[in-house]
Order: sequence, then structure tokens, then C-alpha cells
Amino acid sequence: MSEKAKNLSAEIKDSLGYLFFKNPVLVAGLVIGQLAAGCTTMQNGAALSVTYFFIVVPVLVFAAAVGKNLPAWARVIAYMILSSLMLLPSYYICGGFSATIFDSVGIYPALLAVSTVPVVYSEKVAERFSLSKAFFNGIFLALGFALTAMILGTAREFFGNGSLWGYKLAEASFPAVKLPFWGFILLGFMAAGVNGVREIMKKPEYEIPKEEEAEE
Amino acid sequence: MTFIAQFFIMMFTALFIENIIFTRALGTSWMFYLVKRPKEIVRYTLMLMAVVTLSGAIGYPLRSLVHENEFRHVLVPMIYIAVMAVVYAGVYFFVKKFLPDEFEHFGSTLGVAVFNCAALGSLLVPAGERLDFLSTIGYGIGMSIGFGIAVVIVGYGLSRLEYCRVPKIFKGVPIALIYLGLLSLAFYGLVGHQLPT
Repeated sequence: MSEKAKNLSAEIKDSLGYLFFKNPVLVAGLVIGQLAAGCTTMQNGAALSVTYFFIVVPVLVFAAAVGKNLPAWARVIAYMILSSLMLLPSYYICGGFSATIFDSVGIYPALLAVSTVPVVYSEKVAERFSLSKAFFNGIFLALGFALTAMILGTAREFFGNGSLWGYKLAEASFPAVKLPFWGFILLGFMAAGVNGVREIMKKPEYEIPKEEEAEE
Repeated sequence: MTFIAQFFIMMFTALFIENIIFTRALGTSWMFYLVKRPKEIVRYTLMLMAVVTLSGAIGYPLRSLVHENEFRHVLVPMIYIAVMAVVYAGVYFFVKKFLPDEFEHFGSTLGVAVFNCAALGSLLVPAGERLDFLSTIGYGIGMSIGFGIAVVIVGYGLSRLEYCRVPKIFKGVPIALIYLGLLSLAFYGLVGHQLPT
């Protein structure tokens, strides 16, 4: 195996952790509000996941590619302009599976543009990454977020509406589960579940990367 | 007089009935960052208030232009993010030139102090509800004060939780989220809401 292939494989392996043991929501405690309040159905979860994917991957790749060459004051501005522009493609794609999805999910997809990964992680960490590492980090951060969003959205739609992806399955429902406080509580139990699996598998505790640790 | 009354009613609404953290769940990650730095809560609350007030005032006429546009769900956030970028640049150069000590101390967190879900959310909620100018500003100020109060309440509770015997798998993020959920439920009842049935 060539050196380049080995590096690529190591980068993918490192980024793979963002799916579960380094999950951005359940372990790092990021993007909680958007899920607790906005992710009340499967469709909302899908819309938030698509939007997060379209924001995180380009912003991290952009940060790794040109971030260091920009003056300090212009970096955050550049990342924010890019992430807000990326709302457009996600709006088109989400409109494909429901015309009124952005009415239903409210302001929460737009808030992903100013969430911690594009604002802080891109500047403090991803600027030091290679392009491929930033790309795989973005992909797996978005997939980890999507996994959490889809599980939460499915559970809340099933118990809150008695339906899945809009198809009614049961008459009885518990609408309170769609309120933000239930979102926080469910996310708390999901986070405890991740900790439980980590304990059983004897995996080390994840520590959020600091600026100096991100140096390659 | 009616305008002033409207301003204070919207401020009160944003502060208690639609609290930014407990009801709207905006800026929770930023809140968890601040609860570990209690000395900085006042500074960042004032910063949030300044950003929301300035961006709200500058962005109000611009957002009115796209209210009826079919892409308003995307255009309004884009407008506000652009306005926040202008505010960020202004604050950055002002603090760097006139308050160099402050810049040294908190220059690196200036970006997240301006661009966060609490700030953008405080601008998007009034835009979505098509509030007038004074109500938008009042709502933003109420949201900012509500954010500061929420950080203090959550921070106090989490500091007490450190002395409790919490099961190992619930330590850290899980117990913080469950505590926030219960506080949010308490706030929901406190302001007179009833659970949907």
C-alpha cells in the first residue's frame, strides 16, 4: 500500500468516529437547539441533515484550502458568507421531498449556517487540515449529525403524530413529545446510550480537539 | 405611547414567554460554552444585545424587501448573515484600534460572539412573525437578556449537579441535556402553557 493510500485510509478511519463515538451532537454537545426544537418529524430531520451536509463539507474544505491565506478578520466572514450561500442548494433539494418543508421546520435549517462547526471548528481546527482530511471530516460530521437527526425525528414523529414520513400508522399520539423540552430529554438519553456503548466496548472518552492539538 | 408599550411588551414576551433557551432552544451550544466561564456572561450578553440591536436595525429595511419572495426562507437569513458580517467587521476594527487590551483578551472569540444561533435566531423570529421595527428591536433585547438569565440559571444548576452522584454514563452532556429539558418544561408551565393533548 502506498504512503498516500495509507494516509487516506488513516484520515477516513479517524473521521469515521464522528458517526458514533465522536458524534457532534451526542458527544460534543453541538447543534443541540436545532434538533431539540426543529427536528420533530422524519422529514424535518432529513431537511436539517441535508442542510448540514451542504454547509459543513464545503466550509471545511474551503477553510483547509484557502483559510490560512485570508486575513484573520476576513476568515469568519468568508465562512459565514459561504455557509449562507449553501442554504440555496439545500432549499432546492429539500423542496423535492416536501414543498412546505421549510414552513414546517421553521428557522432551524438557516441557523445551521452559524452553528459551531462552520464558525469555530473551521477556523480553529480545519484550517490546519489537508484537503482530503477536511473533506472526510465534513462528510462524517454531517453523517453523524444525520444519524442523530433521523433517529430523533423518527421517534418524535411516531410518538407525537402516530405517523412515519407523513403516513399515519396509529390514531393514538402524544403531541407533547414534539416540544423542545422533550427534544432535550430524548437527546440526553441518546447521549447516555452512546456513553453506555462506549463503556461496554471499553473505548476511551472523546476529548474535543483544541487548537494546538489539531496541528498536523 | 403605543409604540413604547409595544416595545416593552415584545421585550417581556421574548424574555419570559418565548425565552431564547427554554422555549426556542436557540444558542444552547454557546450557552454550554459560557456556563464554564461565569465571569464572561455579562460581557457576552451585552455583546449579543449590541449585535442583535445593530443587525436588527440595519437589516429591517432589507428584510422587508424580500418578505413576499418565494425564497424568503433562504434570503432573509442570507441578508441577516451579511449584515452581521458588516457588524462583525466594524466591531473587530473598533475593538482592535480603540480597546487593544480587550482585543487581546477576547479577540479570538469575537467571531463566535457575533455569529451564533442566539443572535441569528433573535433576528429571524421577528422576521418570520413580521414584527414592526420597534417590536423587532424590543424582541431582540428581550431575547438577549433572556439568554443571559438562562445561562445563569443553567450554570448554577449544572455546578450543583457536579456534587451529585450521577450514574457514569449520564455524566457530562447527557445529564446537562436532561437538566435543560426539565428546566425547559418548568418554564413552559411557569408562563402558563398547557401540554397539548
